[in-house]
Amino acid sequence: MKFGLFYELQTPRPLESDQWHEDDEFNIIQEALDQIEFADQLGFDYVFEVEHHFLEEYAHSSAPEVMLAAASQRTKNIRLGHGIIHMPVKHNHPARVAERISTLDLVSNGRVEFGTGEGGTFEAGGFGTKAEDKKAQWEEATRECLRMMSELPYEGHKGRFFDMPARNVIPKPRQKPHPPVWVAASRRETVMVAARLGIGALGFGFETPEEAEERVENYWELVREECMPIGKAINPALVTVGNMMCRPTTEEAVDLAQGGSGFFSFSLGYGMPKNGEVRERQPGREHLFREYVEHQQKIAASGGAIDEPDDESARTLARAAQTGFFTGSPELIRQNLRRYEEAHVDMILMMVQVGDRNHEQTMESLELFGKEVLPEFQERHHLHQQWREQQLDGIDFTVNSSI
Amino acid sequence: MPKHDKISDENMRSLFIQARGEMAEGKGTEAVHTLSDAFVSLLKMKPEITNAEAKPGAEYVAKEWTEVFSAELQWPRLGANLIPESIEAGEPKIEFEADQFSISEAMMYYEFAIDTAIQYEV
Repeated sequence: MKFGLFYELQTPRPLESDQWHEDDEFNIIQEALDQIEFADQLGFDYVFEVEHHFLEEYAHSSAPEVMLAAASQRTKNIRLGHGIIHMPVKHNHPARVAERISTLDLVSNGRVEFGTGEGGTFEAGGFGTKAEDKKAQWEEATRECLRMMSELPYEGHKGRFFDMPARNVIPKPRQKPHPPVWVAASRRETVMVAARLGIGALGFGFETPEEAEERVENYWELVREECMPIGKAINPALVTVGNMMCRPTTEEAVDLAQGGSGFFSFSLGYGMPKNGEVRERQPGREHLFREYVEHQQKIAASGGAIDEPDDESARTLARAAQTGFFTGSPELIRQNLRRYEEAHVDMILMMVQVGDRNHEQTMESLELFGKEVLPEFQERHHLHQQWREQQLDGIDFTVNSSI
Repeated sequence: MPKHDKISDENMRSLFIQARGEMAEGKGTEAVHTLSDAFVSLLKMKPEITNAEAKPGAEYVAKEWTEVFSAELQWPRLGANLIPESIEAGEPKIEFEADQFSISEAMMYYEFAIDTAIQYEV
């Protein structure tokens, strides 16, 4: 099983002010780059960076290609993942995505993971994309983007959402025929769609190792028996995501982690329908962090009632954010990770930069995890690779996977 | 073993086989219509699907049936939309807001419908 970090670039507004301090975004970005550089030195395998737009405080990572390009020059081995790129054509034209992925792959000497997705409804509204078209746009744009990266020349396309004449889309990526492809998959059905299309599932929402085991089994069955690859190479792989805080004692880890994890969960659900009601957004004038703190105070006063979003995707993510699987002492985290390893999950992605979490404490947490948790899983990874070879036995498709 | 082999009901199985073939031929729109027919039939055969009780620990589920419905029965809303009132009336109905469906949309409906059918041992 491999390990990566997952970044949203959360930037909560300071409690005492209605707007950010001048250096807040600068600091978050610089700290994240420091953390990624350190993670590379410690032996983490991946960093994935989201693309989100207009989601104040929740995610200021609207240009992940820039962050990953910067990270590529400060690291040697860590793989650079988009988690994910918005594929609807008004967010990113497929040719521009192909150009950027290929260039990053050349800049980083073939370390790119091409995560794809459709983006959220609020974001789609900002670009004039109809929410009901997002998935279909994702599929058409992803399929064509992979052709652009691998065909010389690209013969052009007349489709439902975009047309393009024949052009040679350059440069071509270093990894052939194209980098490993992933899709964001909160719903169980999307994980299975990923299997059918031969791509990795960035599963934002595994709740337990037992559920992961069921998904792994069904995913691989579909890869073997019903796969119709969307690209020129398949990337069969399953990932789960969770918050990580590693400290000498579990009590200390929980104490330091819960504020950031709680804000992540709260800000994720912000704007999602709750009890059938949709909150009207007020760009530039909301203060999620202040609302979160007040929300926590109300929960404490009411004895801890749970308030979760209606939407399954948001709810599963919110739960993942609150679970303590990767929060604790090195021994507790090792025990929990072994359960995912036994379920044959390929990778664990960990959120370490959430809410108002302190950078120095995050660096200490990374170091402890890197020294006391990571090695045992690295030593056993060859066993997982042998298991994967058994799963891939008899599959005729070209495979490009970094697992 | 293909998933449809786990379906005992002949009519239901044939609808899933048909949808699978339509997906393989790139006919997402046809597949979604077939799957919608299959799911409406499934709801008529097993009305308890819409009355599913909250799983243990699912404190977020309220008592209102619509909220139970939204939590437990997440038929994807990708343009072939299940009408809540039609379930209340005992005549489940799916309305099509979209004229066309992609293969991945069809796959979403396929996975949801066939897994529900298998879960309820149809």
